Amino acid sequence: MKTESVLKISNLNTYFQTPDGNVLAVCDVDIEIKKGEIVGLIGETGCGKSVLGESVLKVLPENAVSTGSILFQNEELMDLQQKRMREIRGRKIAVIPQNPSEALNPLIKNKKQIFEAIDHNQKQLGSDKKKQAIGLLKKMHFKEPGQVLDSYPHRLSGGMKQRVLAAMGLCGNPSLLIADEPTKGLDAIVRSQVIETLMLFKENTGTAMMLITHDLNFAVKVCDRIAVMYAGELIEMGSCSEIYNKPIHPYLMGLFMAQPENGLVPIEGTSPSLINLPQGCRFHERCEKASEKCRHFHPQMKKLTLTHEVRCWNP
Amino acid sequence: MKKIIINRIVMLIPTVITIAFLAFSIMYFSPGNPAEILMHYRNPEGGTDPAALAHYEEMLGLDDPFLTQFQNWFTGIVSGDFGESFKTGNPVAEEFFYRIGYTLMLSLTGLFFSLIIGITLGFISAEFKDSWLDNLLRLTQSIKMSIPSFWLALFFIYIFSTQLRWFSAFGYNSPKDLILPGLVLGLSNSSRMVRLVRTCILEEKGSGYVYTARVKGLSENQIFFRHILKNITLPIITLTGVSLVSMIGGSLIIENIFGLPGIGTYLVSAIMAKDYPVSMGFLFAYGVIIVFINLFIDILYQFVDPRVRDCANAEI
Repeated sequence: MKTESVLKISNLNTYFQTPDGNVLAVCDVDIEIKKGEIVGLIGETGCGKSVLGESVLKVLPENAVSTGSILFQNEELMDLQQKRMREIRGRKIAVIPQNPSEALNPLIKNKKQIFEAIDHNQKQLGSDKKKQAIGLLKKMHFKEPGQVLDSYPHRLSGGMKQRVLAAMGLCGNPSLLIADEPTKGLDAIVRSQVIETLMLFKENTGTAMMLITHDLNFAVKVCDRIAVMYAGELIEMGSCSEIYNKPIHPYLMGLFMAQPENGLVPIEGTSPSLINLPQGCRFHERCEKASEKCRHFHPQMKKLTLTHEVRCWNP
Repeated sequence: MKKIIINRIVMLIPTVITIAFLAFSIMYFSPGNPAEILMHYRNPEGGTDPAALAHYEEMLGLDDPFLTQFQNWFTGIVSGDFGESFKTGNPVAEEFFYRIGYTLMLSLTGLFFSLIIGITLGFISAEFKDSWLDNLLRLTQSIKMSIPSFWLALFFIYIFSTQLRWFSAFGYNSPKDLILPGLVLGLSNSSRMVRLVRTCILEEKGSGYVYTARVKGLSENQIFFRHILKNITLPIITLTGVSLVSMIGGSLIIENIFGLPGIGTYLVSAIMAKDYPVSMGFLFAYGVIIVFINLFIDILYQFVDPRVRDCANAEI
């Protein structure tokens, strides 16, 4: 059965122009997200996951250049002006930003910040807005939504802030949610709250989701498909069970070995600078299986099964 | 809120007593006999008659122990009696309140100009970051910072008074006469403000809540006026307080050049003339004004930032 694709990224390149040279944050990325699907994007800090999300939303800093194609509901986002893009952001594409502790304006009441999101979708009377905001917060399992609306963000815990942010995202009718590191820096209890929040979100909207995270276990728990990024490019992509049961790329295996339950075995070395990328496979310097070929030639994504793809010379 | 303000004012009492103590110690520990100075002013031709000197010493209570003298002076101050000037015999309080008005008006005019210039240029600089305009503005600020204010004052007098004849160059007749000195004071204080506003706007633009606002779909204008502006008021308030204090304390040169009867000039001449009641009284009142400016800033902070308000409430 062929389901409708919500987001189709092809050949996306994003780089930042800096005095030290161009930082290639995203190279040749192809990803497709189908309706109602949760796709996880994993990789370590600085591998370009967040930049990928920002490229889709077109909220990159001024020194960034982005090329390629991003089809969202059959509309090419790359060609859109910021003004048109603003109509998509917050309405059709919702975002749960990184770092909930800093993602709300500390000097403005939660109420006003949620109302802003509601207003962006549809101008409404004050009382209607309040009703809708309370409804949204209730959906996010807040017991006293009225109180949350009337307080400032600093009185909320990290998990609560996250749910407020999620409520803001819910107020439109998004067909895609981009959740950027929703579990970063959270403890186990709050983390499970967040997972619950995301599940709630999906239940409520049936939206497709792009989940950007470095937390492998979390991704395995909630995603349908997982894409693994290393040094700006995708290195392995497959269904959740394929990634979990049959990891192929040595980097992905290394990531699994580095999980606490597998003995916290670190991957030797550090990831390459995105300014001076190594010749050949970008992982060869840290790879035990690296051969002469890996050192000189850059591998392409190779299909192993219908859904499983990997970028490695020695799979 | 009321409770916090009262609490803050009560907490000021020890500070004020300390200021009084320090101001008084200056007279007590300075070399020379105040009675001799007073006698010299009262009767310049009189020479040093020991009997008269003893009379003046008794009048000033110089034989009492230090703490008794301090107590006498401080109780006087609390009831509004700052003593009389050695030199002129006028009540110190009268002199002070006559002059502080000019100094405050001048400082507030300066502050007004410094805020207008600082916020406007800072905003432009941040908005056109790294463009030629930004570079030009930043260069101008560096130059302005290194120009001494007396040079700027003389330059302005030459341009606007001598050449264009828009403003009078000396003395105070109408509020219009505050514009030129205020502008000089504001200009020389605005460099820091321009830099602060620029850095803060740029910093806030990269912060998490601005990202949230952007992905919510707000326009850059909405983000600036609804979100960023509120957050940059906090550092601006802080710098405003610091600037105001330094202007009140540092307007001496400007007051002198423009012939304004402010406290700076008067205090310096009193110190030179060893006019102790004036120096002590002015120092004390000056200190109290600064303390109150800080109190005001503190309270303003609580109005703007709910986090500070919560902390203050928790303290009580």
